[in-house]
Amino acid sequence: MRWLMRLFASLRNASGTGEERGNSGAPVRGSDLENLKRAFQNIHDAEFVEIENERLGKVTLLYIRSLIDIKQLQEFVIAPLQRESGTDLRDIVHAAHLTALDNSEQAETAAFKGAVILHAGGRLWSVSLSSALNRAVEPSKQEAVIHGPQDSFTEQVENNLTLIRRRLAVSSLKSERFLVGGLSHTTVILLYIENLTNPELVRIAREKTAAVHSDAFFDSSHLSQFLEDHIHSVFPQFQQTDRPDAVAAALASGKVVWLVENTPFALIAPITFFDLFQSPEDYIHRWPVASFLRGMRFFAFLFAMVLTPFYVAITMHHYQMVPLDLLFVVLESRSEIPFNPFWEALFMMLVLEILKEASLRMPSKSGQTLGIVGGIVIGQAGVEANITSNLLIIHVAVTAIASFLIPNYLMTNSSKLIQFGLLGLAAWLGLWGITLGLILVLIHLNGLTSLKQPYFAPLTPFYGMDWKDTIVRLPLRWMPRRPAYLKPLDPCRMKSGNSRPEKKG
Amino acid sequence: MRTEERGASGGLWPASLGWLLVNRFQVALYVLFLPDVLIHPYMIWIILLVGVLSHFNLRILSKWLQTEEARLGYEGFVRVLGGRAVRLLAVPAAVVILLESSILTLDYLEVSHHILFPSVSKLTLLPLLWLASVYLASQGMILTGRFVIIAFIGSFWIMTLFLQFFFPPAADYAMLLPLVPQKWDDNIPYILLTLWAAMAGPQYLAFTGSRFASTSGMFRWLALGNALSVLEYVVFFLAVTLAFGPEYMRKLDYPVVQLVRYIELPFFERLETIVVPFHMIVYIFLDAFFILFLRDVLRIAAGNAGKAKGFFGLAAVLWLVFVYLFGKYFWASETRHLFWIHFNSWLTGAAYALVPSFLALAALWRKRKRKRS
Amino acid sequence: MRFIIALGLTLMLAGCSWLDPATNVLEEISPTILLYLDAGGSGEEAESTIVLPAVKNEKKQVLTARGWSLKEHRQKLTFGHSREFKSGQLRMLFFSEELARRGIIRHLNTMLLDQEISNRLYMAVVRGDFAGFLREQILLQKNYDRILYKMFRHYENMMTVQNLHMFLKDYYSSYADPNLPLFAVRGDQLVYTGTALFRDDRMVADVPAEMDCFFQMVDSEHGSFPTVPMPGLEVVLGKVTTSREISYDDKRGVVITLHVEGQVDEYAGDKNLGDRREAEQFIRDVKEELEERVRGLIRSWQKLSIDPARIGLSTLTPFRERFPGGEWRRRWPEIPVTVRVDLGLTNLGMIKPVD
Repeated sequence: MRWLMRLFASLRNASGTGEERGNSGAPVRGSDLENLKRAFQNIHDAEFVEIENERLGKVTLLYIRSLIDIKQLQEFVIAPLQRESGTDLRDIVHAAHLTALDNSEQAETAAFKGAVILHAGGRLWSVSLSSALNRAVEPSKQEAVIHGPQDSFTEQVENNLTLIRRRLAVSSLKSERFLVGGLSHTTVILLYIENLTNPELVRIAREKTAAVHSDAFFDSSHLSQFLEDHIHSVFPQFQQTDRPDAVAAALASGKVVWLVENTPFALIAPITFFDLFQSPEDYIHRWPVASFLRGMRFFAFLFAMVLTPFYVAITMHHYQMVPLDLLFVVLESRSEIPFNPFWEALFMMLVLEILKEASLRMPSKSGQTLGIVGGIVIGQAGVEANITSNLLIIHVAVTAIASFLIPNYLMTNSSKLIQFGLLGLAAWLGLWGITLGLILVLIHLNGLTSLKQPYFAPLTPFYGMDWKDTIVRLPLRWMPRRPAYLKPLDPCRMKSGNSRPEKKG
Repeated sequence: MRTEERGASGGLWPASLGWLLVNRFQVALYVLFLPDVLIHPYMIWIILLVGVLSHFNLRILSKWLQTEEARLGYEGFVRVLGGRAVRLLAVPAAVVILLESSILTLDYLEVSHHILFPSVSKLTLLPLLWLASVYLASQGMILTGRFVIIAFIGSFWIMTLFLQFFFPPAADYAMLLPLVPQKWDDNIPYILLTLWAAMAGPQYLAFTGSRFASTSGMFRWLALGNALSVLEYVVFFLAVTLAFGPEYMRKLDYPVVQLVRYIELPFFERLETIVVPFHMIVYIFLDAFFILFLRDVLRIAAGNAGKAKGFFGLAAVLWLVFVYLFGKYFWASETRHLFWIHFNSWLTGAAYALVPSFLALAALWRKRKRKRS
Repeated sequence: MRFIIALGLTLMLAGCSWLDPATNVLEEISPTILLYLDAGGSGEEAESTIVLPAVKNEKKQVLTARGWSLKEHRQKLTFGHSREFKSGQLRMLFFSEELARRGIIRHLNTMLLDQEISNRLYMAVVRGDFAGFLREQILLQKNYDRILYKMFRHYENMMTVQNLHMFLKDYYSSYADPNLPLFAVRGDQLVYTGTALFRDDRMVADVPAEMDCFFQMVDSEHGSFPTVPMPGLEVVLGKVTTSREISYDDKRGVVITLHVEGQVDEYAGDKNLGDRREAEQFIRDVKEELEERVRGLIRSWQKLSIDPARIGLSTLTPFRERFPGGEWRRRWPEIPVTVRVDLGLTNLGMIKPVD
């Protein structure tokens, strides 16, 4: 912990984030405008406009044309400056975001965030008038649900905040703003609920976010790589979601959320291994159905990892395990294959991965061709040419389908990588090897943390109460407490039942 | 929290973890080996009897764990025994740890070699097992201890496979008769010793007092773990007796494993190919524990205990080399195995009988002395 | 870094001794499922016959090897074949009657010690030239070995089906003697002809096919038999379910009570079963016939001093073992046995004799 503090301190001294810059050294007032002009050289859409105001004298406007809304500029800034007069700029420009700036660096950052900089009476001001380059709120494509709220985040961080605030209309929902990235100056908003979220978590999150230093962040996953505890792990330690309801639910259970500018994906932490198997739909289904579906997902995860290695182990080492009738099916289908099961499986799995990657990258119209090529040519022809056995094709296909049952995309790909490892172990040592591999994965999960909290909770460490919403999903009425592994300040969910009918008059 | 426990978030062990720790420490080796020794059905009563004895021993252990000295870790031992004595005791402790873990591990490897890979030397599997153990141990004592939950879940289900042997027509309950012996077996002292050794293992918890968040109410959990072990032994023993009958059982090595081979599921047969590897998780867990204990003991022996750093790599390599050489030169034939298992029974049995009471008495003595002065 | 060193050390140690275990890659081995053991020409010699598994267009073959041990047979067979024989899928073990009468425990011990071989290995005794029969059948039905295996699986509850585990359990028990199904080769057919009874590991007698269901009734705690023909009374009982109780006390000896329920499937006798009095008489006759047959079976076992139905187990009580240490085997021939049949017949009036 101490090294983190030291790191934090050293970062504070170095020129780290945009926010800190203001504190270093006294600004030279007189040359502010000169500095700005120098900084905006060779930027073709940077514009300087000088307006003579009756009382204020010469007011210099400075803005980047591509970033601001020209109409609003005309309406709220230029027109009042030309028409009205006052001793102070605040009397003339009645825009909501009029703020005084301390120095030219701040002005520079603000200008690139879509503000108009006004230089009047030797002071710098900014008016935020960013152009509404805005996508409408659309249903989530990554975590689509059939029932339930359909809105999802967009790239506008302020809009995303709106979506969350509408769901959690309390003053204790705190949002702290950070600017990260030396080049991108990306706004990162850290959200948590005061008096609910464990302050230790908030402290760690704050420190980690402040300690991030790199030049550019274009997605929350870039940020997450700087925040995570175990950089070599194949398991995602942050949950990424573009669903405001998922974020609100996470906040309400005592987690911390990061919103990152220019990406619809928010980061949620701390998470557990089991969280990644949950889908918002779980809370819409009837609880026995939801529990069944959740169980299926865990099963599918295991299946996707183990099935093909299992086939290899059995055909290479443990032929005695197969029931007799099945044995002859396998034997028939394998009898004329030139490769041994390991190479056969490796080949088919690689082909499947290639197909999958290709279908993600291809334009959607040519996707159908891919299906035909993959399904017919590789599957059918491969079997007929005796390159693979049809049993293996079934295995690989089932594996592929099973891996899509996992709601978290990152987790799907983790299981893929583990599968390749297990394949090698299976070819070497059969089921003993597979088991060893699985145990290694379990040991890894046992030691993993997310935001310094145990990743494999509520299993290790064991929290009995949390099992109501882990592999099964019991009725919500039976879950009066927030997840214990988060150690929330307010562990009780159902304390204030203040829903009364609204009375008029 | 010490620096070595990096990532050990989620706090120290709750007292309830003692339940699983006791259980997995007890059952590892003898769950396979015990029915070799117990022959007659009436020996169920001996299992229960030894279970009760062990129950009282755990009471002493929990008394010790609740003392202030036990909670202090190394400092506490120095207070009770004196610095030099602790350093002197560390050397035999290292030998005991190495011997016990060698016998335990090699016995398991022997089974997997015999059942799964007759063409592969068991010493080839050893480094792989070691790798997993070292990986687990490198996470530190707290996380290793917590892994017992996974080890428990990963191995406890095996018992459910045996339940089918309790139902007719496969089970003929007349096989269990008579339940009261008419003539005691001549081997009774040996059987009692082996059973006592089968209950041994929790003595290692005596050295982990500082890892528990709270040790009040500990005894309940320890006793529960002990009861579960007794239950497991009884279930395995009964299943094996019902399936084979006393006379046939005597002819088999590892009748438990032989019985697993008889189990059949609609989609797989020969379940030993799954069960034997899964049982490995317990051994990986125990070996990780042993490596960590070895590390601590080496630190103490080197007079470095205060620093709480280093010696992990040495302990890990020492462990591997010792077990490897032990397996190569002292574990060749079947008669040797029996000798070593017998030896292990003496070793762990003695340790289990002596360690808790010795520590508890030492702590009591010190308390009296302090009161008088 | 530490992890990389550990991995390196592991690979070094593991790699030094071995990197590639002998694998059982499926297409490179020949998993045999049927083994027939015959007594060899003289003395200790024996003869193994196996059916060669074949896939796709390969020709099915029956191979025989001779030698004094099973492993030797397997080695000889492997040397003469392109793929290695593996016995991990061995499902059926047939003994010739001659070998069974000579003793089979030596071979069973080999089977037991081989960890590859499952304990669920069906065993049977065959009368006649089984090897020749297999050679013929394989030409007619390519998968004859698998067909046989399916038969064993199906009949597990109806005829005597024994596997290695059950045989050895009875063999080692001091209160039981093993038994095996007995087949005979008749022309181009393999016919179930009852049960072979063993004393220790030697076959000493057999229960003929027409008596086999009575053996099953005594042997198994609960049984069901689709047809029980009783030619003496010109009746065939159908859908018979039985349950057995055996008790022992020092005065009366062994009392076997059989509860039999069933229906009359066919009746060729001249009693009018529609009449109450005649029907009662009929039931009494059937009951006595059943008792007589079971009694006859047991008497023959006592004569041979064998206990294939584990009757001895019923002498055990929680507090006492009456015949410890093999005493049962010696005393069994002299112990009085009472057989009682508790008969419930339905469907009597369905088929009335026409006058």
